[in-house]
Amino acid sequence: MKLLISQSWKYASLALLLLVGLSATAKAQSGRLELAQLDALSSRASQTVEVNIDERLMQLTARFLSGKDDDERKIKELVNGLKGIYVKSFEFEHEGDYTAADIESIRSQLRNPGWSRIVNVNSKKEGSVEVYLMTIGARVEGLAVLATDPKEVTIVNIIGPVDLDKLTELEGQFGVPELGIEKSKPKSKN
Amino acid sequence: MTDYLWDRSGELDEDIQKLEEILAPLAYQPRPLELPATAQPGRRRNLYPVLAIAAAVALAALALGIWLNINRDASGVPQKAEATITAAVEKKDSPEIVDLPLKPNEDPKAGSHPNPRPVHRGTSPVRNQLALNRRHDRKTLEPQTEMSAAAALEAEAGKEQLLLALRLASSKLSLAVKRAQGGYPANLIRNQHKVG
Repeated sequence: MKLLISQSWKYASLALLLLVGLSATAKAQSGRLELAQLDALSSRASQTVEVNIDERLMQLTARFLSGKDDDERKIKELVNGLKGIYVKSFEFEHEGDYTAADIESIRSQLRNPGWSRIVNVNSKKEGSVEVYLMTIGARVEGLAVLATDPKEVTIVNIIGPVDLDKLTELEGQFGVPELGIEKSKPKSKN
Repeated sequence: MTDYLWDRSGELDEDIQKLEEILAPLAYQPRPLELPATAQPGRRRNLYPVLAIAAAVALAALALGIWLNINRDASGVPQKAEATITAAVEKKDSPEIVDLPLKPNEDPKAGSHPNPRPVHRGTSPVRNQLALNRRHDRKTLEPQTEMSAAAALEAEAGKEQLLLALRLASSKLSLAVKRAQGGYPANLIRNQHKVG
């Protein structure tokens, strides 16, 4: 009986190890970041922005985007093929309300093989902006933008073949001016 | 002591001879092994590895199920149409969540209402209008209409979230590009996602 138990544990451990390894590898290769660790920051933040759009909701939303409207057509083209967009942004009242340790879980994921940092801009006053791409071969599988300044942390994670040029060009569109205006009137749509 | 007890040479003692005669029937007598008829050598199988593998597979399946369940929960997006869309923006000084029930005769597919109606409560900033949590009174609608209305509602909320996410992503990417290229008006771009 003891032999049976010990053998079972041995095989079960091996199977679990294999399972965990496979799932971790699959997740690491999917371009999806685990952002749940950042939830602890929400209790300290004065403002929190969170967006979770998975593939199903993305497809559903894309179906309702008009192909006639220029702006919506651009969005439709951009999100075509994407598997998810996840955003977390925290704004704090005071400097020091968050520390580097709070976002270390994100950085550690971005250090994994597969992710490569294509832009890294650091400034003591203005904070830093890092742009990471996950590529498999020549195919882009994910994008991550980690922007931090003394009072703000923002992480954007886009899963799938994202077109960086198109995404960058979106700034200032959809009735949202480029400058900081509190309210904007959306364009009338057909 | 004689050498007889050592190698059966030398003088034989009478007592030893008697003892030998008494014990002679008990001496080893070579004969072939006789197995009982009920014994069937080679038939017994070791089931331990099979049972261990079965247990391992069962545990692995259990772990996979738990992992899939956790992974699905972690996605943060409701899996059913009637589930509510999570709020996009929250602010501590005005934490209320705005409910926008869908009217029975309201057609969410109509293009005249691409965005949800803004609802002001107290001194909430305009950007908190995005904090929507819509519920659908399913009992008042026919099943077919109910399904499409729920899907449209979900898509509409998804569109809001999508636009918000794209604005954020775009602004941060542009910020990175501009800062990487040198001079940039940082204050103009920072916190752009608050807009809308």
